Amino acid sequence: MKLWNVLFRRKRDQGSSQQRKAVKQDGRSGKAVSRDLEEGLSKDVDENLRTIVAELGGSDDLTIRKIDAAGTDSVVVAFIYIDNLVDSAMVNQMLLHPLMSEIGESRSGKSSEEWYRTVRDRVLAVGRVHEMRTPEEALACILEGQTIVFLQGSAAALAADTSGGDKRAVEEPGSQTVIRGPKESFTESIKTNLSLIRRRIKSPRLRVERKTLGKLTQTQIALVYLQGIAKASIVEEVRRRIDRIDTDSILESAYIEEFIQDAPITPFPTIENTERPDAAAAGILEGQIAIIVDGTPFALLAPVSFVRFFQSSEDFYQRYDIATFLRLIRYVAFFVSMLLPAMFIAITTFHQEMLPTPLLISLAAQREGVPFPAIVEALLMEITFEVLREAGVRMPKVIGPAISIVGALVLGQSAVQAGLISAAIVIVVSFTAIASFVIPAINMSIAARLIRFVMMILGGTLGLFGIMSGLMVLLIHLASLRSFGVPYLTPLAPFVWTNWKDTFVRMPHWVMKKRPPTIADGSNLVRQGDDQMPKPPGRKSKF
Amino acid sequence: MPLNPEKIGSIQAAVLISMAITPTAAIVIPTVSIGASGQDAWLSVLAAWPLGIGFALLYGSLSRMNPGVSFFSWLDSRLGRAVSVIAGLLLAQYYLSVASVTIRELVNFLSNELLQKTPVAVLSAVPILIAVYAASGGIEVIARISALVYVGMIMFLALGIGLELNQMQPQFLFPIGDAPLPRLVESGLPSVGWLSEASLLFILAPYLSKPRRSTAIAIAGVSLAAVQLSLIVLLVLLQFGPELPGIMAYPAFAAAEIIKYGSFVERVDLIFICVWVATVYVKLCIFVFGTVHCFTHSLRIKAAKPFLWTISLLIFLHSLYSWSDEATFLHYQKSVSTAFLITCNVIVPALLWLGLKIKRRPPASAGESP
Amino acid sequence: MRAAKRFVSLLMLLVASFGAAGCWDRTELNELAITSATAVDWEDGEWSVSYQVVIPSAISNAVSVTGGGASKLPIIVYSTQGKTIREAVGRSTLESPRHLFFSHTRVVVVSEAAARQGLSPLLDVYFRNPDSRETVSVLVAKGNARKILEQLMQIQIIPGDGIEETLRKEAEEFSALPNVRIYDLALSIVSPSKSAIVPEILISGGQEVSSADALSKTSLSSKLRLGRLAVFKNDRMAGWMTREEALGIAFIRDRIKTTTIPFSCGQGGKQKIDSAFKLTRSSTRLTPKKDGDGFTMKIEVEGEGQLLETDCTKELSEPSVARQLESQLELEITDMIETAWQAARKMNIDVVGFAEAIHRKYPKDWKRMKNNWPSGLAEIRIEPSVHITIKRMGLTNQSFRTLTEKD
Repeated sequence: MKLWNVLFRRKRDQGSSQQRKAVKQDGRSGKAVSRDLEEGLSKDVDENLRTIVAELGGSDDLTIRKIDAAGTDSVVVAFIYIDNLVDSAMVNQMLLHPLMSEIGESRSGKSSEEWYRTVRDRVLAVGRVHEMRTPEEALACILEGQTIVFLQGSAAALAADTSGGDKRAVEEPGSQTVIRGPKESFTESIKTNLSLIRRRIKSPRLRVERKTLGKLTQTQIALVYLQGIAKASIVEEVRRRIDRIDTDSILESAYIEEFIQDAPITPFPTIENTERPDAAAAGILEGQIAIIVDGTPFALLAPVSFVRFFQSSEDFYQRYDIATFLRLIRYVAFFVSMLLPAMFIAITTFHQEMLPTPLLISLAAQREGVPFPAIVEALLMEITFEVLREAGVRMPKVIGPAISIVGALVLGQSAVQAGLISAAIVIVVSFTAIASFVIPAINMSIAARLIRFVMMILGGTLGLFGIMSGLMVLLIHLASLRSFGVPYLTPLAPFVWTNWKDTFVRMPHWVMKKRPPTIADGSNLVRQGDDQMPKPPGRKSKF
Repeated sequence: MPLNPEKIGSIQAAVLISMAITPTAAIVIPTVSIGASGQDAWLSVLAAWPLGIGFALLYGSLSRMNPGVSFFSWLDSRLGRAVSVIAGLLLAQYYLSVASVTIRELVNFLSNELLQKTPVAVLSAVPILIAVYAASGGIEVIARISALVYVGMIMFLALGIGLELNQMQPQFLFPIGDAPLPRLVESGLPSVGWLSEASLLFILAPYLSKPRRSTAIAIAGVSLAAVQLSLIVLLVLLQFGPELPGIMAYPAFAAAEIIKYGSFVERVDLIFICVWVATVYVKLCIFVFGTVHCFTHSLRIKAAKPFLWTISLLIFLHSLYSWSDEATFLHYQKSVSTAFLITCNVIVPALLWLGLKIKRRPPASAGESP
Repeated sequence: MRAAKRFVSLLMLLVASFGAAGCWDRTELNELAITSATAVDWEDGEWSVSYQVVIPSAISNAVSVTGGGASKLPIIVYSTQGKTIREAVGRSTLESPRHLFFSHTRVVVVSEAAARQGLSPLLDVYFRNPDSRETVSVLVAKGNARKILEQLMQIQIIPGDGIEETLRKEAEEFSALPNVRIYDLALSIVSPSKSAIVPEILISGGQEVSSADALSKTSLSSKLRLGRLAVFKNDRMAGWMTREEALGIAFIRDRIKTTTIPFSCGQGGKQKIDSAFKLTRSSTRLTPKKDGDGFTMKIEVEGEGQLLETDCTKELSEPSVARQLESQLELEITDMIETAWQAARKMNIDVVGFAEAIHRKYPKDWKRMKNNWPSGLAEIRIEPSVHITIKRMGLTNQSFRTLTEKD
């Protein structure tokens, strides 16, 4: 029976290897591959190894370590793992070493069933060990960095979690920096990232739901939220949208973001991303759901409203008065970055009466002899600046100073001196550029950058009326957006008073008694006790 | 309190009603009413307030009988299909014509004050497109933007009052009660007409989060509008006296035009104009939505989208070609418009109300509809 | 999803249509002729409008290089004629390469001839057209108004600005001549008194300063200065009032912000004027009182201020002396009011604004009087009562003369 089975399988393997090649070329239909892998494992170690090796196409990074019983040639135990995915020290110490020392004494006289149980329960010195029944399961575990232990004579294999290998250490965040506050950043490893969040929220209610997405990449993702604080309906909605995703690769959280966001066609982000574990933890504590993706330090947070993109985690680490001031500055900067060039064009070419007379005269003097209309001038400078910025991001770090010299001196100063553009437009463009860096969320500042060009054209054709119309379209658009059912303009319209304590101003922590009711579960809003304002004994009336 | 973003809150609804009235009224009322009754114009606008509240009570009582379905399907179930279709078409026509008047007013203003050389068709197409976009987002979206724009408007109104304080001459208001009664009535009538635009409550009814409060909402909306209008009239009177505003086309903006503090804060009227343009946009959005709503609901049309486009094209053409020149338009505004508004907003609802009172069936459950 | 698509397509449509159709109302800054002042003359049955146009490049060079004195002239002046004001303005395109831009105009100077012709066409132009502002200050020139625009100023680079600044400072600190803007003029012409007052501007001195050479001296051969007060009946100019009369009018109309009043500290008769007082706050109340057939106008002036200089030998810290000085001042001001009132009565023009006061207090009687106003002006008696408080005597409490006369 067994022999027949082996023969039969072998035949089928050969028969299907052609087909499998074809399948591999088209690269997508993982299902076709797995169909004949779904059958159970064989009791023969070599047989199983062959299946796996064939499945991985004999990749050279596959490591197989066979152990035979003392004095015989027959293989008793075999390990199989992928070289750099596992922590090899761990494999050696926790798997190889115990097994090899056990093999002589305890195996003798045991049935293969008993031996299997001994190995599973007593020999393998690894935390997570589970049983594999099919080659498919085994294959998936190998690709995740686990080590598979095949035992002669048992139709089940053991997968020991030895994943490790090279990964980046926890470093300072590259994009969302703070002066005061934690300096840790997420890394590419989902394990590290989850641990970073767990370490910040030591609550039994913190839930982690793991999923695997991407048929080829088999990327691990995790939903992290607080049970009873995140709205159950929103958690369910996030889950539903993620389960809908049918793709072969997830390389970054942006892939997921694009698959699950509410409004696919909008310049505005409806899902927040962060590489700061403290920001993610803060979001989770307010009822947001974090989506952590293996292979990227950027976690997603949803649902989110427009004003959230103007908050920096540092707002909560600095004193509230300065935080409020800085936050207002950011809103101003957002509008400056979106509207300043457009306003400049509209006012200097349509509504000159709005300028104070001395300013009008000096602008007019600068414009004498400038060949382009103001709108063309401004568009040219804006595009030049975008080119400079892109060059700054892409170029090798060594050439950095060269670009800044060329950009600042040649383009700015010389162009003005040569009379190609007026000095005022250089000032306007520079200020706009600087303002766009103030917005903490880079995806929101990109939105402002894109809209800026539309506004400039509107301002250049219809003046302030055009800008006003553009703003109105923007407002309507923003009012119609939502993020996982939460209206995007939330604390403003619809008006929610509780959120206002943390929108334009940042109230002291002891004032923000409740979580935002728009995001968090309504039954559990209270964040802290009453009357938390500090009352040191010296604070008495001095009269 | 569960947060329900799909519905319109009571404050939003009141603001929506006042935003349906003030943007165009703020332009026309000062000229017309000061022209008629001089320094007593603000009293005549205030006198229109109680009448407006009367309308609000009528609309409120009609809306409260409605069990939360669309106004027309409710009429249908109570008074029969014919009545609901006729009322629906009448109201659709009303919304359409107010929308065109609004656009025309905006365009007239823009080509007088700001953009003399830009073709009128472009100036009217831009607001129409924006209104279509907003209307396709639904009334909740319009309610949200109207709340935001309203806050902005109030802020700028306060700023304007602050900046204009030094030009105000209280003696312009005296003697009070100089104008004879007929002139007072003449100057108050346009305000009455405008305040009757609170009939917007009918189409808001099914979207309200608290339909029981509809009377209060209507009263609040009308009061906000009336107070705001008399404030603007007062503002104009205090600066230009009883004689000049009658000959000015846009006295409220002329008041902003003469703001001058040193040589830095001057010529700031454009800022106020921009805010006003935003409020007109909101009004337009409301009325384009209203037209489509009345039309499709009374005729029970499921696919509203094609009608949105055709109706807005109709509004566009109506606003462009119904009045050949500004004088005809002004004449329409001063004389015909009030009668038209009162017919559509007061007489028709009053008839419906009477009809309902007469036809009231003893078992209340009959009004239930699926 | 569909809403978003629509949003994008709408945006594209908007942008495309604007881009394709061009820019209708766009005017680049270097296509504008920024007009800092205009002048209106009436010559041979035609309006002649002159423009003082700023040359931006000359000004910004002047500022950066020499810091004030201009080597290139900052302005040019030219005039056009027409049957109506706007026709004249329209004709400017025949000689100007740039579009005249009036929003930054500071002053409009009207010649006496044009003013006597009537200003309603000018007011109409200002109220009808969006490009001209109602905040422009109005001035009257005795002769040719164009000459005023040609005059250069020394400290202020743009003369138009300079004239307005002078007017504003004067209205704040001396208060005899009001700064009358176009809308002020319109308001007072349509008010019940149907009259208006406008300050005069004139060139004092001989050779006019209209070239860079003439400007490069420490003492100019001539300069712009404010003069008398032009009085308008309805929209036509009717006559002049002196500056002293103007100050009286300012007291009656409650236009005083700050002013300096000379007076003598000794009592009785004609004495030498030896002291000056700075009035820092003043308010006037006009109360008409029915008095049989006619009206008596109570003019109550309430003011306070400080002593600027004195040459009298009294002990200034004594309250009684202060009272006495105050009563001297009150006499002085009452005198001014009387003089102004006499002048107004002689002209038979209600520049003092009694009509408004009566209209406000006795609207019924006003309806009767309205028709033969301002002839009824002559029958009105005035009852001025002035109350002045000297708040501060300054840093010395006796004059220097007390020291010099001691020995």
